[in-house]
Amino acid sequence: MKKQLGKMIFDQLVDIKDDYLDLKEEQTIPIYGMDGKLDSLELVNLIVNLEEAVYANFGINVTLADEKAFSQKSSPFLTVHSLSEYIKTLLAAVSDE
Amino acid sequence: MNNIFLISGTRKGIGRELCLHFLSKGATVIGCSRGEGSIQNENYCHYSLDVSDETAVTAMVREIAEKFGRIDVLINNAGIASMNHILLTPVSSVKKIISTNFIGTFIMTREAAKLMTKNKYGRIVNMATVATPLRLMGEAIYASSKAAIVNFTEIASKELAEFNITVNAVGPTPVKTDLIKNVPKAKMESLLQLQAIHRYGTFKDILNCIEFFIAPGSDFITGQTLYLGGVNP
Ligand SMILES: NC(=O)c1ccc[n+]([C@@H]2O[C@H](COP(=O)([O-])OP(=O)(O)OC[C@H]3O[C@@H](n4cnc5c(N)ncnc54)[C@H](OP(=O)(O)O)[C@@H]3O)[C@@H](O)[C@H]2O)c1
Repeated sequence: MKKQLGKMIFDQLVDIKDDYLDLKEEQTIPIYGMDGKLDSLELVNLIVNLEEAVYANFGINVTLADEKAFSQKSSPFLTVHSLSEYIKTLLAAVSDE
Repeated sequence: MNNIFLISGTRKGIGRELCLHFLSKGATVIGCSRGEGSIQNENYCHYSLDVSDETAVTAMVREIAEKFGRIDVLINNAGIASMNHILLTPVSSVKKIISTNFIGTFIMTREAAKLMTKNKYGRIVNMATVATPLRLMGEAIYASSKAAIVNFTEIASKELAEFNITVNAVGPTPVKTDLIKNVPKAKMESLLQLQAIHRYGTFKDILNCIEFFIAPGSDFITGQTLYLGGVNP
Protein backbone atom coordinates (compact mmCIF):
# COMPACT_ATOMS: atom_id res chain seq x y z
CA MET A 1 0.00 0.00 0.00
CA LYS A 2 2.87 2.34 0.84
CA LYS A 3 4.09 2.05 -2.73
CA GLN A 4 0.65 2.69 -4.17
CA LEU A 5 0.27 5.77 -2.00
CA GLY A 6 3.74 6.98 -2.92
CA LYS A 7 2.93 6.71 -6.59
CA MET A 8 -0.38 8.45 -6.11
CA ILE A 9 1.28 11.37 -4.33
CA PHE A 10 4.06 11.59 -6.88
CA ASP A 11 1.61 11.64 -9.78
CA GLN A 12 -0.25 14.52 -8.18
CA LEU A 13 2.98 16.42 -7.54
CA VAL A 14 4.00 16.14 -11.17
CA ASP A 15 0.54 17.31 -12.13
CA ILE A 16 0.77 20.40 -9.97
CA LYS A 17 4.36 21.46 -10.56
CA ASP A 18 6.77 20.93 -13.44
CA ASP A 19 9.72 20.96 -11.01
CA TYR A 20 8.80 17.43 -10.06
CA LEU A 21 8.94 16.17 -13.66
CA ASP A 22 12.71 15.77 -13.58
CA LEU A 23 12.73 13.82 -10.35
CA LYS A 24 12.55 10.08 -9.96
CA GLU A 25 9.71 8.84 -7.82
CA GLU A 26 11.19 8.36 -4.37
CA GLN A 27 10.00 8.40 -0.80
CA THR A 28 12.44 11.14 0.16
CA ILE A 29 11.13 13.70 -2.30
CA PRO A 30 10.33 16.88 -0.39
CA ILE A 31 6.86 18.37 -0.72
CA TYR A 32 6.33 21.33 1.55
CA GLY A 33 8.49 23.18 4.09
CA MET A 34 12.29 22.96 4.30
CA ASP A 35 13.31 21.70 0.85
CA GLY A 36 9.78 21.36 -0.49
CA LYS A 37 8.97 22.81 -3.87
CA LEU A 38 5.32 23.66 -3.28
CA ASP A 39 4.07 27.00 -1.99
CA SER A 40 1.07 27.08 0.31
CA LEU A 41 -1.35 27.54 -2.57
CA GLU A 42 0.03 24.51 -4.36
CA LEU A 43 -0.11 22.54 -1.12
CA VAL A 44 -3.84 23.29 -0.93
CA ASN A 45 -4.23 22.07 -4.52
CA LEU A 46 -2.30 18.92 -3.71
CA ILE A 47 -4.48 18.18 -0.71
CA VAL A 48 -7.70 18.65 -2.68
CA ASN A 49 -6.47 16.42 -5.50
CA LEU A 50 -5.12 13.78 -3.14
CA GLU A 51 -8.35 13.53 -1.16
CA GLU A 52 -10.07 12.91 -4.48
CA ALA A 53 -7.48 10.31 -5.52
CA VAL A 54 -7.71 8.51 -2.17
CA TYR A 55 -11.46 8.31 -2.62
CA ALA A 56 -11.12 7.09 -6.21
CA ASN A 57 -8.63 4.39 -5.19
CA PHE A 58 -9.92 3.27 -1.83
CA GLY A 59 -13.53 4.47 -1.74
CA ILE A 60 -12.80 6.24 1.55
CA ASN A 61 -13.23 9.94 2.30
CA VAL A 62 -10.26 11.26 4.23
CA THR A 63 -9.60 14.82 5.32
CA LEU A 64 -5.96 15.72 4.98
CA ALA A 65 -6.03 18.40 7.63
CA ASP A 66 -3.51 18.37 10.40
CA GLU A 67 -2.54 20.57 13.32
CA LYS A 68 1.07 20.20 12.36
CA ALA A 69 0.56 21.02 8.67
CA PHE A 70 2.79 24.08 8.88
CA SER A 71 5.36 22.68 11.29
CA GLN A 72 8.90 22.51 9.92
CA LYS A 73 9.76 19.35 11.80
CA SER A 74 6.76 17.11 12.08
CA SER A 75 4.39 18.13 9.31
CA PRO A 76 2.91 15.17 7.45
CA PHE A 77 3.41 17.20 4.28
CA LEU A 78 7.21 17.26 4.41
CA THR A 79 8.01 14.37 2.08
CA VAL A 80 6.34 11.69 -0.01
CA HIS A 81 7.26 9.27 2.77
CA SER A 82 5.67 11.25 5.62
CA LEU A 83 2.55 11.94 3.59
CA SER A 84 2.09 8.27 2.60
CA GLU A 85 2.50 7.28 6.24
CA TYR A 86 -0.04 9.88 7.25
CA ILE A 87 -2.63 8.77 4.69
CA LYS A 88 -2.03 5.15 5.70
CA THR A 89 -2.85 6.03 9.32
CA LEU A 90 -6.01 7.84 8.27
CA LEU A 91 -7.15 4.91 6.14
CA ALA A 92 -6.44 2.48 8.95
CA ALA A 93 -8.42 4.61 11.39
CA VAL A 94 -11.44 4.50 9.08
CA SER A 95 -11.29 0.74 8.54
CA ASP A 96 -11.02 0.22 12.34
CA GLU A 97 -14.35 1.95 12.91
CA MET B 1 -22.13 31.53 -13.76
CA ASN B 2 -24.07 30.70 -10.59
CA ASN B 3 -25.74 27.41 -11.40
CA ILE B 4 -25.01 25.07 -8.52
CA PHE B 5 -26.02 26.20 -5.03
CA LEU B 6 -25.32 24.48 -1.74
CA ILE B 7 -27.50 25.84 1.05
CA SER B 8 -27.64 24.59 4.64
CA GLY B 9 -30.70 24.60 6.87
CA THR B 10 -33.22 24.25 4.06
CA ARG B 11 -36.05 22.32 5.73
CA LYS B 12 -37.78 25.51 6.88
CA GLY B 13 -37.39 29.22 7.50
CA ILE B 14 -35.04 31.44 5.52
CA GLY B 15 -33.07 28.52 4.06
CA ARG B 16 -36.18 27.00 2.54
CA GLU B 17 -37.21 30.32 1.01
CA LEU B 18 -33.73 30.76 -0.44
CA CYS B 19 -33.94 27.35 -2.09
CA LEU B 20 -37.34 28.05 -3.58
CA HIS B 21 -36.11 31.36 -4.92
CA PHE B 22 -32.98 30.05 -6.61
CA LEU B 23 -34.86 27.03 -7.96
CA SER B 24 -37.39 29.41 -9.52
CA LYS B 25 -34.44 31.10 -11.24
CA GLY B 26 -33.45 27.80 -12.81
CA ALA B 27 -30.54 26.92 -10.53
CA THR B 28 -29.76 23.48 -9.17
CA VAL B 29 -29.89 23.54 -5.39
CA ILE B 30 -28.45 21.03 -2.97
CA GLY B 31 -29.89 21.56 0.47
CA CYS B 32 -29.29 20.00 3.84
CA SER B 33 -30.74 19.96 7.33
CA ARG B 34 -31.08 17.40 10.11
CA GLY B 35 -34.65 16.59 9.14
CA GLU B 36 -36.16 15.36 5.90
CA GLY B 37 -36.33 17.75 2.96
CA SER B 38 -39.54 19.68 2.43
CA ILE B 39 -39.08 20.73 -1.18
CA GLN B 40 -40.19 18.69 -4.16
CA ASN B 41 -38.43 19.89 -7.28
CA GLU B 42 -36.44 17.99 -9.87
CA ASN B 43 -33.57 20.42 -9.46
CA TYR B 44 -33.48 20.08 -5.69
CA CYS B 45 -31.61 17.44 -3.80
CA HIS B 46 -31.74 17.12 0.00
CA TYR B 47 -29.25 15.63 2.40
CA SER B 48 -30.43 14.89 5.92
CA LEU B 49 -27.40 15.71 7.98
CA ASP B 50 -26.06 17.82 10.79
CA VAL B 51 -23.72 20.52 9.48
CA SER B 52 -21.36 19.86 12.39
CA ASP B 53 -20.91 16.23 11.32
CA GLU B 54 -17.62 16.31 9.45
CA THR B 55 -17.96 12.84 7.94
CA ALA B 56 -21.47 13.46 6.63
CA VAL B 57 -20.62 16.86 5.17
CA THR B 58 -17.46 15.53 3.51
CA ALA B 59 -19.41 12.67 1.94
CA MET B 60 -22.11 15.06 0.71
CA VAL B 61 -19.58 17.37 -0.95
CA ARG B 62 -17.85 14.36 -2.50
CA GLU B 63 -21.17 13.30 -4.04
CA ILE B 64 -21.80 16.83 -5.30
CA ALA B 65 -18.34 16.83 -6.88
CA GLU B 66 -19.06 13.56 -8.64
CA LYS B 67 -22.53 14.54 -9.79
CA PHE B 68 -22.13 18.21 -10.66
CA GLY B 69 -18.38 18.81 -10.60
CA ARG B 70 -18.75 22.19 -8.93
CA ILE B 71 -20.34 24.38 -6.29
CA ASP B 72 -20.77 27.99 -7.36
CA VAL B 73 -22.49 29.37 -4.29
CA LEU B 74 -22.48 28.19 -0.70
CA ILE B 75 -24.92 29.75 1.73
CA ASN B 76 -24.20 28.81 5.33
CA ASN B 77 -27.68 29.42 6.63
CA ALA B 78 -28.23 26.61 9.16
CA GLY B 79 -28.33 28.08 12.61
CA ILE B 80 -29.92 27.76 16.02
CA ALA B 81 -30.54 30.26 18.77
CA SER B 82 -31.39 30.13 22.42
CA MET B 83 -32.19 33.06 24.65
CA ASN B 84 -30.99 32.80 28.18
CA HIS B 85 -29.20 34.64 30.93
CA ILE B 86 -25.59 33.47 31.12
CA LEU B 87 -26.05 32.48 34.76
CA LEU B 88 -28.79 30.09 33.68
CA THR B 89 -27.12 28.68 30.57
CA PRO B 90 -25.99 25.05 30.65
CA VAL B 91 -22.72 24.19 28.93
CA SER B 92 -24.59 21.65 26.80
CA SER B 93 -26.55 24.42 25.13
CA VAL B 94 -23.39 26.47 24.53
CA LYS B 95 -21.81 23.46 22.85
CA LYS B 96 -24.85 22.89 20.68
CA ILE B 97 -25.00 26.48 19.48
CA ILE B 98 -21.28 26.79 18.77
CA SER B 99 -21.31 23.43 17.10
CA THR B 100 -24.11 24.19 14.64
CA ASN B 101 -23.48 27.87 14.04
CA PHE B 102 -19.73 28.09 14.01
CA ILE B 103 -18.28 24.61 13.55
CA GLY B 104 -20.97 23.83 10.98
CA THR B 105 -20.12 26.95 9.01
CA PHE B 106 -16.44 26.08 9.20
CA ILE B 107 -16.83 22.49 7.98
CA MET B 108 -19.20 23.43 5.15
CA THR B 109 -16.88 26.23 4.08
CA ARG B 110 -13.77 24.09 4.18
CA GLU B 111 -15.27 21.28 2.15
CA ALA B 112 -17.12 23.45 -0.39
CA ALA B 113 -14.12 25.74 -0.83
CA LYS B 114 -11.98 22.73 -1.76
CA LEU B 115 -14.28 22.07 -4.68
CA MET B 116 -14.45 25.78 -5.52
CA THR B 117 -10.65 26.02 -5.70
CA LYS B 118 -10.72 23.51 -8.54
CA ASN B 119 -12.97 25.74 -10.61
CA LYS B 120 -11.26 28.91 -9.45
CA TYR B 121 -14.64 30.38 -8.66
CA GLY B 122 -16.91 30.54 -5.67
CA ARG B 123 -19.20 32.71 -3.63
CA ILE B 124 -19.74 32.00 0.04
CA VAL B 125 -22.32 33.80 2.13
CA ASN B 126 -22.57 33.30 5.90
CA MET B 127 -25.32 34.25 8.30
CA ALA B 128 -24.51 36.70 11.05
CA THR B 129 -27.02 38.64 13.19
CA VAL B 130 -27.60 42.13 14.53
CA ALA B 131 -27.55 40.57 18.00
CA THR B 132 -23.73 40.72 17.78
CA PRO B 133 -23.21 44.47 17.21
CA LEU B 134 -26.18 45.33 19.46
CA ARG B 135 -24.69 43.21 22.28
CA LEU B 136 -28.17 41.97 23.10
CA MET B 137 -28.69 40.78 26.65
CA GLY B 138 -29.98 37.23 26.76
CA GLU B 139 -28.20 36.35 23.53
CA ALA B 140 -24.62 36.12 24.75
CA ILE B 141 -23.96 32.66 23.36
CA TYR B 142 -25.88 33.03 20.11
CA ALA B 143 -24.36 36.46 19.42
CA SER B 144 -20.87 35.18 20.26
CA SER B 145 -21.22 32.22 17.92
CA LYS B 146 -22.16 34.67 15.16
CA ALA B 147 -19.33 37.04 16.13
CA ALA B 148 -17.04 34.11 15.47
CA ILE B 149 -18.64 33.75 12.05
CA VAL B 150 -17.97 37.43 11.29
CA ASN B 151 -14.27 37.07 12.10
CA PHE B 152 -14.10 33.78 10.25
CA THR B 153 -15.68 35.47 7.21
CA GLU B 154 -12.99 38.14 7.28
CA ILE B 155 -10.04 35.78 7.51
CA ALA B 156 -11.50 33.21 5.11
CA SER B 157 -11.98 36.01 2.57
CA LYS B 158 -8.23 36.62 2.67
CA GLU B 159 -7.20 32.99 2.56
CA LEU B 160 -9.57 32.17 -0.28
CA ALA B 161 -9.16 35.31 -2.39
CA GLU B 162 -6.40 33.79 -4.51
CA PHE B 163 -8.83 31.10 -5.62
CA ASN B 164 -11.33 33.71 -6.79
CA ILE B 165 -13.67 32.85 -3.93
CA THR B 166 -15.42 35.65 -2.07
CA VAL B 167 -16.71 35.23 1.47
CA ASN B 168 -19.25 37.64 2.95
CA ALA B 169 -21.95 37.65 5.58
CA VAL B 170 -25.45 39.03 6.00
CA GLY B 171 -26.49 40.23 9.44
CA PRO B 172 -30.28 40.14 9.55
CA THR B 173 -32.50 41.90 12.04
CA PRO B 174 -35.30 39.79 13.52
CA VAL B 175 -37.28 38.02 10.80
CA LYS B 176 -40.48 36.19 11.71
CA THR B 177 -39.45 32.54 11.61
CA ASP B 178 -39.48 29.70 14.15
CA LEU B 179 -36.06 30.89 15.33
CA ILE B 180 -37.54 33.79 17.26
CA LYS B 181 -41.07 32.54 17.91
CA ASN B 182 -40.44 32.04 21.62
CA VAL B 183 -39.10 35.53 22.26
CA PRO B 184 -41.75 37.66 24.04
CA LYS B 185 -43.43 40.26 21.82
CA ALA B 186 -42.53 43.20 24.08
CA LYS B 187 -38.89 42.18 24.01
CA MET B 188 -39.03 42.01 20.21
CA GLU B 189 -40.60 45.46 19.95
CA SER B 190 -37.92 47.05 22.12
CA LEU B 191 -35.31 45.35 20.04
CA LEU B 192 -36.69 46.82 16.82
CA GLN B 193 -36.32 50.25 18.39
CA LEU B 194 -32.54 49.78 18.44
CA GLN B 195 -32.47 49.68 14.64
CA ALA B 196 -32.41 52.80 12.44
CA ILE B 197 -35.49 51.45 10.68
CA HIS B 198 -37.91 50.03 13.24
CA ARG B 199 -39.46 47.07 11.46
CA TYR B 200 -39.04 43.33 11.20
CA GLY B 201 -36.76 42.15 8.44
CA THR B 202 -38.21 40.00 5.68
CA PHE B 203 -36.91 37.18 3.59
CA LYS B 204 -36.65 39.63 0.69
CA ASP B 205 -34.30 41.90 2.67
CA ILE B 206 -31.93 38.98 3.18
CA LEU B 207 -32.24 37.80 -0.39
CA ASN B 208 -31.40 41.29 -1.62
CA CYS B 209 -28.04 41.17 0.22
CA ILE B 210 -27.26 37.66 -0.91
CA GLU B 211 -28.01 38.50 -4.53
CA PHE B 212 -25.67 41.46 -4.22
CA PHE B 213 -22.87 39.32 -2.79
CA ILE B 214 -23.16 36.66 -5.48
CA ALA B 215 -23.68 39.00 -8.45
CA PRO B 216 -20.95 38.95 -11.13
CA GLY B 217 -20.18 42.60 -10.43
CA SER B 218 -19.41 41.83 -6.78
CA ASP B 219 -16.11 40.10 -7.44
CA PHE B 220 -14.33 42.91 -5.56
CA ILE B 221 -16.60 42.61 -2.50
CA THR B 222 -15.26 40.20 0.10
CA GLY B 223 -14.80 39.87 3.85
CA GLN B 224 -17.81 42.10 4.53
CA THR B 225 -20.68 41.72 6.94
CA LEU B 226 -23.72 43.68 5.87
CA TYR B 227 -26.11 44.46 8.73
CA LEU B 228 -29.72 45.15 7.87
CA GLY B 229 -32.08 47.74 9.30
CA GLY B 230 -29.43 50.36 9.84
CA VAL B 231 -27.47 48.57 12.54
CA ASN B 232 -23.77 49.40 12.63
CA PRO B 233 -20.97 47.02 13.54
N1 LIG C 1 -35.05 34.68 12.00
C1 LIG C 1 -34.31 35.64 12.49
O1 LIG C 1 -34.80 36.54 13.18
C2 LIG C 1 -32.84 35.69 12.24
C3 LIG C 1 -32.15 36.87 12.55
C4 LIG C 1 -30.77 36.91 12.33
C5 LIG C 1 -30.11 35.80 11.79
N2 LIG C 1 -30.82 34.68 11.49
C6 LIG C 1 -30.08 33.53 10.97
O2 LIG C 1 -30.67 33.05 9.79
C7 LIG C 1 -30.45 31.65 9.68
C8 LIG C 1 -31.74 30.92 9.38
O3 LIG C 1 -32.62 31.15 10.47
P1 LIG C 1 -34.19 30.88 10.40
O4 LIG C 1 -34.83 32.06 11.02
O5 LIG C 1 -34.60 30.47 9.05
O6 LIG C 1 -34.30 29.67 11.45
P2 LIG C 1 -35.31 28.41 11.48
O7 LIG C 1 -36.62 28.79 10.89
O8 LIG C 1 -35.26 27.93 12.89
O9 LIG C 1 -34.59 27.36 10.52
C9 LIG C 1 -33.33 26.82 10.80
C10 LIG C 1 -32.96 25.84 9.71
O10 LIG C 1 -31.67 25.29 10.01
C11 LIG C 1 -31.75 23.87 10.05
N3 LIG C 1 -30.77 23.40 11.06
C12 LIG C 1 -30.72 23.71 12.38
N4 LIG C 1 -29.69 23.09 12.98
C13 LIG C 1 -29.04 22.39 12.01
C14 LIG C 1 -27.91 21.54 11.99
N5 LIG C 1 -27.18 21.30 13.10
N6 LIG C 1 -27.53 20.97 10.82
C15 LIG C 1 -28.24 21.21 9.68
N7 LIG C 1 -29.32 21.99 9.64
C16 LIG C 1 -29.73 22.58 10.79
C17 LIG C 1 -33.20 23.56 10.37
O11 LIG C 1 -33.64 22.31 9.86
P3 LIG C 1 -33.59 20.93 10.73
O12 LIG C 1 -34.35 21.21 12.00
O13 LIG C 1 -34.20 19.93 9.83
O14 LIG C 1 -32.13 20.66 10.99
C18 LIG C 1 -33.93 24.68 9.62
O15 LIG C 1 -34.12 24.33 8.26
C19 LIG C 1 -29.76 31.22 10.98
O16 LIG C 1 -28.37 31.13 10.79
C20 LIG C 1 -30.08 32.35 11.92
O17 LIG C 1 -29.14 32.48 12.94
C21 LIG C 1 -32.16 34.60 11.70
